[in-house]
Amino acid sequence: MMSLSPDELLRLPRPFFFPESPEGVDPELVRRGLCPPLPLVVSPTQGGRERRLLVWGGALAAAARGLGTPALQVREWEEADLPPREALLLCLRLENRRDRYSPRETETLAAVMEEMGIPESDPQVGDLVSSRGALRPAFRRLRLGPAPRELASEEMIDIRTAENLGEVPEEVLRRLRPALEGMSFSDRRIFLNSLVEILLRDGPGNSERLAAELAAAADPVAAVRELRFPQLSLMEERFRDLSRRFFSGSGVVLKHPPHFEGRRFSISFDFDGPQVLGKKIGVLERFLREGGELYDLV
Amino acid sequence: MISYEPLSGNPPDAAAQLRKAVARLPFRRIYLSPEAEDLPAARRALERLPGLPVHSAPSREGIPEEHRSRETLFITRPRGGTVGRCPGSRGHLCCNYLTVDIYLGCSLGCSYCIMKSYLNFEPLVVHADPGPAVERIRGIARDNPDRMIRVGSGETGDSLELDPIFGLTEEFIRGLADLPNVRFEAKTKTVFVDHLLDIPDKGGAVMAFSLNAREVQQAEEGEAASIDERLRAAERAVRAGYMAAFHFDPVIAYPDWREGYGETIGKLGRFPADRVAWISLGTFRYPPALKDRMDRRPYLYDEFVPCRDGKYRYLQRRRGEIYTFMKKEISGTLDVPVYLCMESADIWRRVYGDMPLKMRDMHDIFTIARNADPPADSGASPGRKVVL
Repeated sequence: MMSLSPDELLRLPRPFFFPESPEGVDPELVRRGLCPPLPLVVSPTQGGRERRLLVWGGALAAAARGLGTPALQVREWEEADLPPREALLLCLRLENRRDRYSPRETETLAAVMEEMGIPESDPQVGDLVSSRGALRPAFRRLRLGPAPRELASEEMIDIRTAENLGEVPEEVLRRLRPALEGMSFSDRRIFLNSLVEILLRDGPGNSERLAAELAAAADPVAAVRELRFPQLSLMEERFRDLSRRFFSGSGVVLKHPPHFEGRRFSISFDFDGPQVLGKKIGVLERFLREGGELYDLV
Repeated sequence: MISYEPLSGNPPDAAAQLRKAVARLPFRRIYLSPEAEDLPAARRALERLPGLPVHSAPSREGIPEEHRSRETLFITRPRGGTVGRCPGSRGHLCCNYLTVDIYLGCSLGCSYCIMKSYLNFEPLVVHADPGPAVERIRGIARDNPDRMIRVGSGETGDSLELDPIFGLTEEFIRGLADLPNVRFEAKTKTVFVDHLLDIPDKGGAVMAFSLNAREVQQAEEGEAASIDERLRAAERAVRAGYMAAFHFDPVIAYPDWREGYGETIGKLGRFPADRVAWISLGTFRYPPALKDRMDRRPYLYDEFVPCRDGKYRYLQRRRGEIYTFMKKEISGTLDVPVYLCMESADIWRRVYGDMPLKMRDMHDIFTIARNADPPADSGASPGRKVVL
């Protein structure tokens, strides 16, 4: 066992990803010297010199420097005795934060694993990181473009929706970001999936104009639906208009078949005496005479 | 009428078609179930597919995981019932067609293939013993001497894609030829009819071709034959004495659909009406589960709404417009029965003004065969695939 000063430790390259902020470290433990020895890996370089890597403990070293602690204990291994995958496992064990890694940290870990050639299905790594399989979605996020990854990492959208966004130019997503922030999770999902489908249907040529239109809309979710289902939206609008014209304020409710599939419309109303009933019948008689356009909708 | 180029060219012969059928197949191995080893169709296929390693597997589940792919051909006998009713669709009118599943799966690769949603087993499966199905159809035909029995092999796969290799369709044609009330329909997107042309007694066999607009065929129908090639094959079949049938399914409402479908329909004018048994129409539809399994093609993002059977279809008004156009175009070209596949009563009334069983030329097509139902304790219900 040997000791190194915090400055020396912080100058060493760190192969893994953990936060460098000392905030998570209890200063009392550092002050009393109750820190575990920090693991170093020593490997020879081509020039015959030795290269040291700090496997874990960057945050501790930073805290020690802040507290004026002169040295921390370290434990050295030859690379042959602590190969890269074992070093990562040791690092995760010392970090001891199972289920408490942020989505961004798991993404960074996934990137490190990919670089080291450790498969995403590695059971030991996965088990040390999460009891809920958080590494797999991290690998999936890693394969996304920057804007979808950002939305998924911030948990604004689910990974599947993010993966669907491959057709959407990054610029379009950035432009729509303020509108997305104002939506519920579910609306955001509906909005983005509809946007993708519009681009798949119409091609990407007008994507910027589309983004501008949606970003400026008072209700972007309703606006994207109108663009995704133009005929259906028009039929719904005609139906609403017709209902307003004939039944507004009358208490008579007109309903169309779901999605205008079928030919059965329905009308309902309440009444509490002959006078009210007479009024409703009058409204219906007018509709019978003048409301023929309703049937064009199906 | 839209003009079309003459359908001409040297008819391919059966040997050349066999070579072509073999050359385009993706198979790298064959699995054979022990009970299928002695079947003539299986032996024929092994002779015609030389060079492929042949393994034994008692069932589909017996094929190793790594070989469960489209590169594997599995030859077996059918298990259970051999003749089924078309599964139909809840809330939609079914023509009560009977089906025999001899080829399960297809390697043509159409982007819209609905089989992707219910054939979750990748190897193409061939039920190489047509005998029990032929006997079952004969029984149904005997029980329904006054009714037309329509039965086809194109429900779960292309009827003729592998047929030059297995020769199963010939066994159905020969086995049913003496029954005047049976129409056995082989439905295809290939041109592989030539091995069937010399059968002397064709009975009521129908060579049916799925058709589409040329643009749809070129963009969406993978390795299927071109529309003109299919029509030339249909001509050869008709000249040889078969009835032909045509299926416009799925009709896809791409931007120039009227011109595209009008062009294909115009090409049907060369067929004598009395040699065309029927033409069916069906607009593109999909169960929700299929959408995620399909390629992201532009037509998939048109306006579809859920219908009573849970499948998504174009808006009713649009479907009515499409069918009315197609029916009118066909009526101006050929005077043959044109029916709708899996459509609602409302659409029938809108397009035809009536229901099919009330129309004289639809009666034979839509009449239900007696005693073609599954046994009472089979648990089968309307709208569900049943075996007989």
